[in-house]
Amino acid sequence: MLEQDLIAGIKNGDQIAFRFLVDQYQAMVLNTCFHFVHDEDDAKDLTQDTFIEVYNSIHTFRSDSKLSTWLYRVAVNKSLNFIKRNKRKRLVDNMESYFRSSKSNEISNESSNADKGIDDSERSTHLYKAIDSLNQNQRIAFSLHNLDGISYSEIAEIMNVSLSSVESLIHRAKVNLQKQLLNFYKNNLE
Amino acid sequence: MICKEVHKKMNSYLNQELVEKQLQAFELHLKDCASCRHILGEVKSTMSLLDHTKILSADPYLFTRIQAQIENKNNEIRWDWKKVLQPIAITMIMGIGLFSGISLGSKYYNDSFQLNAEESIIESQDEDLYMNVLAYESIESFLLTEN
Repeated sequence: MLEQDLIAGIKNGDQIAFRFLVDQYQAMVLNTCFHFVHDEDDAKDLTQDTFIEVYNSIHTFRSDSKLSTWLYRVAVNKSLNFIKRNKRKRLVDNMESYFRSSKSNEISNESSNADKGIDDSERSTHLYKAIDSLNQNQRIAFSLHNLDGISYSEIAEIMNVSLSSVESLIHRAKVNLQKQLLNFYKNNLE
Repeated sequence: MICKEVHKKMNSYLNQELVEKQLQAFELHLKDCASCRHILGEVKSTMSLLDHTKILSADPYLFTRIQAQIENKNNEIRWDWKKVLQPIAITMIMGIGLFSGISLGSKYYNDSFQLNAEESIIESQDEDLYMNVLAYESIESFLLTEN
């Protein structure tokens, strides 16, 4: 189905067209949301909300950009709003996990060097925390490029910024991420 | 190069920004320092996870859930309209009832007021008539002039 036909179909309330859109793009939306919120259930809820929003506001879509770009934009906005809403809750959770991790670090520091080994699930927790601490624009650009594999030019369209801005945002995000991780491992492994 | 310097330059090393001389000194230190090697290894391992991110697979029931939620939201909207319109309708009916009650009441009051006024006029006329009747009544003059 052509994109234009798909949009026209959804605008006319065609359920088959809407189903096609959901089937076609749900994995993309789901993973984008997941890379922002890092929780599978939350990502599923956000995916649902994204498609409902798309269904309700398809008449405002003027086809200036690709449908996928618009979908990414809606999914990113939904995810960022979700993060803002849960900021307080997340802060408490982060504090709890921080205290848990410092406690476990204390324990591991007491044990032998062999116990200092970190598994990949722990590493990914540290990585996600470091990504979460980036500023909003760096985080969007970095997540979309490094986790979703979206090209610089499409990110520029999604974020409505220039290509050079995207390059700069991603570079700075990578540097900041490495700094965060270096500091973390320096303090916890030494 | 000491550990502190190596830590400072780790970022540049990872981004391949060190000049030849610095790179040699950095790598020389790494050969002898297990702690710095460990830190660098962990950062590299963590960053490499970006290439193997978890990919969630599509949910076959997502469309059904979306459809159900859209329907629910539409019902909620309808219900909300009912919720808004119901008190308005009740208020309007009560207002109409109150207005018609007042207007009927005031009409009855006016009618009964007019009726009462007419009755009182008739009554006063009747009273006058009786008074007049008395006035015309003959008084026995001998009784008055008895003395």
